[in-house]
Amino acid sequence: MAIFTMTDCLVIVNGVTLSDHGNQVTVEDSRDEVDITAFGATSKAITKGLGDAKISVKFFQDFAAGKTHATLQPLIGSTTGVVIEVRPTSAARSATNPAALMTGLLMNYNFLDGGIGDASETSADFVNSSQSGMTYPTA
Amino acid sequence: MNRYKVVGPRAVLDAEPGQEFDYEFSEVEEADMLAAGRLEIVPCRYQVVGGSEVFETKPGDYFEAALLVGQEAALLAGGHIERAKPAKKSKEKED
Repeated sequence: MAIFTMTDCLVIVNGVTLSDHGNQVTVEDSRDEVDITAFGATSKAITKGLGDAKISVKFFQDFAAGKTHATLQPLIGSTTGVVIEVRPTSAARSATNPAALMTGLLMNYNFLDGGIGDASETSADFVNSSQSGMTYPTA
Repeated sequence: MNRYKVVGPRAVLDAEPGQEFDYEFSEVEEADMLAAGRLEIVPCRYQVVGGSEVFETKPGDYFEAALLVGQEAALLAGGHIERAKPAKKSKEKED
């Protein structure tokens, strides 16, 4: 199995393919640590609690119709969770190209973030909003 | 406004089980109805009018989807999609 290098990730936000404006993605799938240590124990005992999921993406800002701002700005004011999908490559889902999929809410949207001469980047953080959490479909 | 089908055993508004109707639910009302299993969204036809693919459909092409009120509103507000007339059956056969 070859070590994977990210060059062609697929990023879909609410159905809109924004891969050509993204340059960094982080998928987090976590469980709370719950301390269940009782009296008499000599070591801590930890079990898993509630699950959580988060997808963070950095995009190059673009105010053209159907691009970055047009996709993200309506979501910051919406209370409806939208599907966020990330794949290692832009190819179809498969066992060797599984998707990370979650229904999430956009909690942070940086309209402008940068200094003079910089490419205008914006970061978007989506947090889990459904009971299904993060899934990894292969088809 | 979305089109819904009553899938639960009880009527919703004036629609009996199995019937379809158009209504403008809020995001919360719609989510409650869907979660309770009383309604399902009838898929609608859309055209991609923005510059990006939407549901893996290229700009200018059409797709059908059952979008939540909030999802549709975000895509319409962003200039990604427009509602399209239902495809004619003979056209569908050609596709």
